[in-house]
Amino acid sequence: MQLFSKNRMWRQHELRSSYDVVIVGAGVHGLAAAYYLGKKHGVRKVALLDKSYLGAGASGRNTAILRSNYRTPEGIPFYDASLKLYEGLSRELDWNLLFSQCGHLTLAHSDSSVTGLRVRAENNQLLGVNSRIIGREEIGNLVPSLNLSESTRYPILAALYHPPGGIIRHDAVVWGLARACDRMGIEIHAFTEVTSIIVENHRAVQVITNRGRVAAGAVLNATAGWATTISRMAGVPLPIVTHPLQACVTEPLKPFLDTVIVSATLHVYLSQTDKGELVIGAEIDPYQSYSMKSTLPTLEQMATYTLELFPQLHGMRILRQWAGICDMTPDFAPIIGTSQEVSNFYMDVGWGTYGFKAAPISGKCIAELIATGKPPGLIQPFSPARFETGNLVGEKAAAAVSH
Amino acid sequence: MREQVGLADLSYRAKFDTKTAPSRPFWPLGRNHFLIVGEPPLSPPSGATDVTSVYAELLLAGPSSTAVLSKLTSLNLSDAALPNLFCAQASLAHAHTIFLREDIGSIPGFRLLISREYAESAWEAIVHAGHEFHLQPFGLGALELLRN
Amino acid sequence: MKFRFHDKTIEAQPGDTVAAALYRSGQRIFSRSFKYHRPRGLLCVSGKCPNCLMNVDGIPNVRTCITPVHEGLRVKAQNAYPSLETDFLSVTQRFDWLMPVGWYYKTFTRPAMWHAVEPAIRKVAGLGEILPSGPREYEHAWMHAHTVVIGGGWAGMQAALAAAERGEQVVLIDDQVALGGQACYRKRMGPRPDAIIARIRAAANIRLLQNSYCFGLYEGNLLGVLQRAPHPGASERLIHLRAQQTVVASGAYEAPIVFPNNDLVGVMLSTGVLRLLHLHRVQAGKRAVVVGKSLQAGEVAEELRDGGIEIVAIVDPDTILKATGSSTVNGIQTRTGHFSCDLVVICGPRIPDNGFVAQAGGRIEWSEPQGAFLPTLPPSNVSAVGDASGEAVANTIAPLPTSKRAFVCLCSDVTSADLCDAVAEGFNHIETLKRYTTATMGPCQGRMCQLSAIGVCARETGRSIGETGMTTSRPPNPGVSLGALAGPKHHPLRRTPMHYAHQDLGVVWLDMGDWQRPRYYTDHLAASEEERVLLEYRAVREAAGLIDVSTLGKLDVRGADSGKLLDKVYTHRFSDLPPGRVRYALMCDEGGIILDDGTVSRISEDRYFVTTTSGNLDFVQQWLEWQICATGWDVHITNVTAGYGAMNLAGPKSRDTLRKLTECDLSSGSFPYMACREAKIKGIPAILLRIGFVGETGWEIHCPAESAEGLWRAILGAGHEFGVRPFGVATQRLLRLEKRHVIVGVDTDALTNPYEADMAWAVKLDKKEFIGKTLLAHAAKDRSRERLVGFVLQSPGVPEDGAAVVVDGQPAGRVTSARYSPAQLAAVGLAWVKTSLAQDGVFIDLRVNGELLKAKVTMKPFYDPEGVRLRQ
Ligand SMILES: Cc1cc2nc3c(=O)[nH]c(=O)nc-3n(C[C@H](O)[C@H](O)[C@H](O)COP(=O)(O)OP(=O)(O)OC[C@H]3O[C@@H](n4cnc5c(N)ncnc54)[C@H](O)[C@@H]3O)c2cc1C
Ligand code: FES
Repeated sequence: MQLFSKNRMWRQHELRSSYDVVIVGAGVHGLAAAYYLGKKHGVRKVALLDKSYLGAGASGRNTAILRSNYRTPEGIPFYDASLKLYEGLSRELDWNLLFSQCGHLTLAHSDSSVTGLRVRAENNQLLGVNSRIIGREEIGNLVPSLNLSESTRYPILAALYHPPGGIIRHDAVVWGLARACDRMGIEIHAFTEVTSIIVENHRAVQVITNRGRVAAGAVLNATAGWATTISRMAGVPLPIVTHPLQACVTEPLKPFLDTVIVSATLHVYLSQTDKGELVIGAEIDPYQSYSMKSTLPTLEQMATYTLELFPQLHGMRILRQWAGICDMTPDFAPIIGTSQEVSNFYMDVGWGTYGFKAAPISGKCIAELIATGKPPGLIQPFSPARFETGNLVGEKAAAAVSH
Repeated sequence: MREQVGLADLSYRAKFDTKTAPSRPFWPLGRNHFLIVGEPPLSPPSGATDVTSVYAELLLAGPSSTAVLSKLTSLNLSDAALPNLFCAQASLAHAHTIFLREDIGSIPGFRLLISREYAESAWEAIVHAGHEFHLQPFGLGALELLRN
Repeated sequence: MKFRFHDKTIEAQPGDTVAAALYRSGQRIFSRSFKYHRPRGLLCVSGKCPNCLMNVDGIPNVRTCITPVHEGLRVKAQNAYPSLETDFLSVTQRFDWLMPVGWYYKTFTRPAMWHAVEPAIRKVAGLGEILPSGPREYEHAWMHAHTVVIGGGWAGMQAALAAAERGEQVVLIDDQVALGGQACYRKRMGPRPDAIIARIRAAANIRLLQNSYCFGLYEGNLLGVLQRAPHPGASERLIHLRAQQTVVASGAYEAPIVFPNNDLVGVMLSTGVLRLLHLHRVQAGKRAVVVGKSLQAGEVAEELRDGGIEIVAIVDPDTILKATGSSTVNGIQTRTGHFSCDLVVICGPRIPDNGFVAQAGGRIEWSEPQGAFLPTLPPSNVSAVGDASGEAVANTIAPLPTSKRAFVCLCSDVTSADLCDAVAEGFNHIETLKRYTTATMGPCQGRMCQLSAIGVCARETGRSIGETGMTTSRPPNPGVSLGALAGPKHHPLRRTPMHYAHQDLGVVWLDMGDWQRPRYYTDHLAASEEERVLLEYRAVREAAGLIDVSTLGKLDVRGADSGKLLDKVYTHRFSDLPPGRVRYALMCDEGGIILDDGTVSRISEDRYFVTTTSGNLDFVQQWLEWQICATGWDVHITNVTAGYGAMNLAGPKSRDTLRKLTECDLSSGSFPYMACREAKIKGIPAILLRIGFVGETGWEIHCPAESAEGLWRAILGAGHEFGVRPFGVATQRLLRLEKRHVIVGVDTDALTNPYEADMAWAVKLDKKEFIGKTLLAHAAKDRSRERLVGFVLQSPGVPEDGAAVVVDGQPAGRVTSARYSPAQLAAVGLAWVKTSLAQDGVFIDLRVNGELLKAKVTMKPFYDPEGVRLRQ
């Protein structure tokens, strides 16, 4: 029984001189792509290169909210497919990802946000996603601890309720996928930094790292916040800017909040982990930066908004605050596909503040694209070409603070 | 006010915003940006915009005035950073504010120009912050007394 | 002084902390551990360990060992049922073999099983509980200093005095009740430095913040400081302290030694025992074994003897096999024998508290000779002195047995065996080890366990401690309460000049950002919004209505190049606008996406009056200022929003009403639609714009804010005989919808261009150059995207805003606004649809309460499509 075994999760390797696929970035997206390459397509001569420890990027820093109640006809089926994969992933990996489908509530404090939520609810229902608008009474039943008073500055008017949404243990996903990759013979190289990419005849032929150079049949950029730094190495421009995003946790408390709470008006989202800690997330910092230092004003904002929703928490102490970096696209939708400039340079980036939930499906789709050369329908709307044709995805209104 | 701190509403005073340095006393707000504040009636310099109604003017005066303000703004209000007759802009209780330091004799005084729609809520915040210093509202009569 | 501990009354002495008073009263178990519910007693007595957390006055996880007693406090234990002494959940200890490190990842991997057990796991996890508590006041403050010294021990006080003597403004922060640091409770170090303390108090340029702790050093030398009970009216004050120089003098704290049963009640840190003894005159035990290396242990033993505690033995940690006892310690088993005692005093490694240096970007490195992580390359504006710099720290690192019950992390019940297992599984980097085992992630923020965890990791991986390294030091550390971070509850509220007039009229408010606007008016609460809106609607359409539009952004734009600037930022042309005329203004970004709209009126040759939407004013002003940067243009922009009250009088009777108050000729001949004038109304100087958002003859009147309430009342008074009524935003929304006027941000979103919004008329592509031109020229030809259309519902019912447009069962658009239109006697609205459907007479399906209803597309206004009424 694995409970008592002390097997190594993943091994260390020397770098080989060439791989069929080199994946830059061993966050959840890089890992998921490798996992499906190996599992579905039998492509196992794959190296995952990461400049730091596993989960050092946004995959180990996010608030781990999963949901599929997106806004657009492009986004909804995509995220829904991802949620379904997540539902089966603990079993598939034989590793409990602690996915609790505790339900997800997006609060509206103004008529205009009710309208925004209704657009989502309608589209969700038409596309078969469990999601609906609920009123104050039902909100109160679901979250008795929430401040539903009408005399607050921004009273809660309604909410979008999405029962299958919830939270997962982010590190567990990273470790579970890494273990599965390792067992298929895929190599994970931590502390291996890519410093340049050699392109010849519109093909990326070699990847140069601090541990030596490797030849690559295909290169996948899965570096999220660092996406443009890697793409630049291959000479591929990306319409992405990087912003820090911060979050914090309180000391553990006995359970008082059993659903995920998001409020776009108050720029805050909260959930309580199984350990009892309240996890609080903010909106992105307004400036571009690669800094992963947390700041006091953002912490104060998170506290202010949390107390608007749960005034009784005023005495709770914040234990940790941290920042991750997010690769923001103009339309708040990802960029998945082949670059036009370099034919074997693939991208699975533009994950902004919301990419953790999408890892299984984008990994699966990008793996299919790399292995077969054909992009599955689900990712076609997210192709990098849309920035030339102007066919942006209208996800901005829903994704903004919504994770 | 002589001992602690007082707050007055002097919104009636005339204010003009201009981009050419006027020939009379002014407060510099930025490069090519000046503010004239004074007792009405005040004739506007040519090309100036009348902002009398844009800003409410509150006067916070007394030895504890810096202590009160330091609960509401991140601006450094020490004598060294904002000496008498100097001005600065910062947010005060979440409202953008122009701070004009104008002492009354030896008593520190701050004229706070706050966009009018925020003034009432700023007034409330100042009074609240001033509780521990026994802040008192005062009128023009008391101001005259102080001056003399 | 008395306080309540559950149903007991506890006597306290002056200066007591809650924990000291409880200890004196005989309480030994203070908490139950997180996972195994093991009994835990006082350990550090300085707020640095997790052992004394209780609920105090409703607030959970309070460090009782540093919480002063107040009369009438209510104190309760947490995470123990039914009581601290007998906790049913302590049976989990017996099953610890079922819960090796990471057990929860390896079990319940089937979703159904996990869903079944998760609620139970949730229930037993967590620590404190929130109980009702009285109101608390939290404050914020800002401070500036030349030099900040963190820590009021010997080194900190010296540093503060030295800086003060150099004439610098100094702030000295200390978290204790009394200055002096260790000297207050380590009598052997010599007498309390009273002379220095007196000099500090006397120095005019030292500001002393006592009972305050620094929790983070942020970028830009910003220190977060929490001051407890700053004055009787407040419980906590968060101070934002900016300093040019920061001196870290926060000393060193003691950490436990790892051996089996090292967490038994009665095993305490030497500093904890001394603090109890000297600060609270409490003997922690009668017979003590001192565990430590020779010199340090000897000193502590002497001091305890002086305090009347019998010393049974001094024991070298290397020789310890285990502590004995079931819940409370009764002895120490060493290789040489068993020593009975009721107190084990640990002289643990002293950890320099220098995280602030790391937070400031300084390097912290392991020093083998001193057995501590020390700052090596502090940034130029930060320095460490005293124990924090490692000055007098010399640790011989504690041994690390692998046996099971040697607790490394007390907060999370992680043993040394757990850590070894985790490393074997591949979590061999200190950051992954931390995340997998949760060691160092508990309420003490790793103070008690970080060094030992690093030690185990180093040994298991065969690396040195230096190579293993520390985890990143992150503020806030110590933690800070949400209340203190949030500060005083103060919501800025923006009130229009007519605020109180609305109140007198029985307003129902609508929040729009910080603004409060009338939604509608009512004289009795029973009336529904629909009824009231209909009443107001009728008034506007049949007589006239008056609405407060003061929240519109208003910019005064002057100077010779004003027209040039407006031509550049708006899609329409304004340089050729004659004085006395108004024009609709639409603003796009470089991508041709709509940013804002409003009106531009030319008041005189070189003066324009620009209005913006309420929410976008700041943005528009910055955008304009940005566009003139470095152009050298002669333009002066002044935000005069607050300076003007604004109201819109609209309806067939508006001219008759206004005529009673002004000499200005209001006839369409001399004051036509889209004209503007400066005129006096009831003696009040005003700007009048003849525009018509709601589709009737009307004037938007801007007057000095202080006169606006008077003018508002005067117009309503003058209009009384005609049936003029005030109306709110809800009514305005209906009126404008009938006219198919678009509201930016309601009917448009972050991707809308003017062509899609059916506003091609507002874009002058023949203009030489303006922001967005290139992509707008492209968009003018592109018919692939969606389009905003009007619709009339063909059956009863009203779609809600946000309802879906459905084609073949798939979402194919959305309704942005829909209302019942009294003019059409049916629901009308605006919706986004595929361009192919954007034609008069086409039928579309809308989803209304889950049902599909037919609606007919129209590209014309629903009311007065030719705009005759406007121009009358
Ligand atoms: C605070 C926060 C909260 C969030 N909350 C949520 C949420 O609730 N729900 C949700 O779905 N999403 C959330 N997100 C977003 C989500 O975490 C990310 O979109 C997602 O984790 C991205 O995964 P990734 O694998 O693409 O990138 P990452 O996990 O960032 O991995 C990128 C990796 O690339 C490596 N790398 C970078 N440069 C190089 C180089 N030159 N050579 C080698 N390796 C390199 C990095 O070390 C890193 O490990 C949140 C993000 C943050 C920061
Ligand atoms: S002992 Fe507190 S975090 Fe480990």
